[in-house]
Amino acid sequence: MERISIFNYEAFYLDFLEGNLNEADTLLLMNFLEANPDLQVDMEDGLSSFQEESIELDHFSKLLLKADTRATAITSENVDYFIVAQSEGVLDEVKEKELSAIIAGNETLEKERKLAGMVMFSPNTNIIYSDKAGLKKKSRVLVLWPYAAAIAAASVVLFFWSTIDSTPISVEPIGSKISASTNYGVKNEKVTSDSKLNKSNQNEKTGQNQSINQAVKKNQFNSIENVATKESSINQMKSNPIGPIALINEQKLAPIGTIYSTPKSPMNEDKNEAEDLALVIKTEMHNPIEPLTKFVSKKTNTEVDFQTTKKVDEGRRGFHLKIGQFEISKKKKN
Amino acid sequence: MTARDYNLAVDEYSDNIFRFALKHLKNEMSAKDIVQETFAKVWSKHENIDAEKVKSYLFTTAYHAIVDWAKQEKRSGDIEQTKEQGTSGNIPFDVQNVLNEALEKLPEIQKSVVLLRDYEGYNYAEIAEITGLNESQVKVYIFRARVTLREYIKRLDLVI
Repeated sequence: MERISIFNYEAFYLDFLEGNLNEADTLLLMNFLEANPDLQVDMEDGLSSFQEESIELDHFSKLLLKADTRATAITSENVDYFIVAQSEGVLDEVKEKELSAIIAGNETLEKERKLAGMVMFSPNTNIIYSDKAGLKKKSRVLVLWPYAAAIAAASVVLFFWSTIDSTPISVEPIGSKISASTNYGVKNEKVTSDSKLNKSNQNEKTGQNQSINQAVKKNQFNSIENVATKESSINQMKSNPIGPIALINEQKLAPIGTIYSTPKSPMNEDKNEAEDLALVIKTEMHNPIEPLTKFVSKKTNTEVDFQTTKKVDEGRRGFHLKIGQFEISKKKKN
Repeated sequence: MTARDYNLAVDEYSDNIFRFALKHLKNEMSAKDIVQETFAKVWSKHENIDAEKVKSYLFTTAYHAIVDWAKQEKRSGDIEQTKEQGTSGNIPFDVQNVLNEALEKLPEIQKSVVLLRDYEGYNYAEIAEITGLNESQVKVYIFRARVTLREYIKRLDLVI
């Protein structure tokens, strides 16, 4: 029995008008109406107004919904989609050839393709937005000058600092010298006998005295006050009986500002090197251009800092420069 | 995005945004307002915007501003249209003029996607990002718009 008959064709026809008839049934309906021209007479108007457009849209829409049309063969029914796709530039090479083969010799399709190529818009470049300057924002290029100023200032300070400090500072605080000879981190043969120790300490003290006196004479930059402080410490040292524990205590009582050196040993030599500058930074760093760095920090909203060591120990000097995330530290040895 | 990047974007894209807005709104003053509003919004968020994506950001902002403007004008019913500057108005027949007429007959969303495609050369994915549609929808709107435009030319019997 035929799927569409004289008894049910109206239902199919209504579905067709509403656009609910699938492609296969539409074809069946068309064949049925062709085979029954007497029925077609009654509904000729309705069909003629819907038939062509509906079928065409249906094919077009279906292809539009497909993610990939490469597998779809180009037919006279769906050629319109491929013509638009070609004008859009989304057709691959294979389909381009297939389309050209179908269009070739067909005047109507050739005309359609030509029209499809015409419906493209190009911007009128004579139309411009005149007030670009009003949209622009001031660049922050000028704000960069404080960075340059900070770096320049730091460089100048470093230069003078290194020039002035080129004369070796030979006067050393007592505590640092004592701690250097103490070497309490490692076994020390010197601390095995009291008599030996006293003797060696006495010699050491005498040696220290001599070297300090010489250094005081040589040093033109030390203030009288500084020398007085150091000499009183030396006197204190002389009157104090020195043993291993007393040495450590003495070190603790050394004048403020003294740089303590960590005793060296083969095991912790590297560590001592690395910690050296940190120790210096902790104890003897100061900022000689603080007003300038504060000003630059405030103006640029960036942390700017410059620290140098004080002139207290010839063995440890260095500087630390920080501009924002940029940091540089240097330890200088004489 | 730095102030320098932003200023470069002004130089590079303000004309494009203006043309895009003018094509939709048909009103020079309103189109200028859209450009200013778009760049003001972008500047307010410039620190969070990648300089490489600024064009997309600008067109997205402009597109939404145009949609809002069109809604407001539709409500107030006060649309004062001005003729585009620089169009070849003296030429009695020009395919571009006919196409511009046809463009006005398209639904707003079809008009937008076609202009983004033709004026700026965006692909479907980029247009989808700007308009908030998905890629398939963009494709459907563009294809339908092309067919409508083609039929418009055909109907007017302007075929060369």
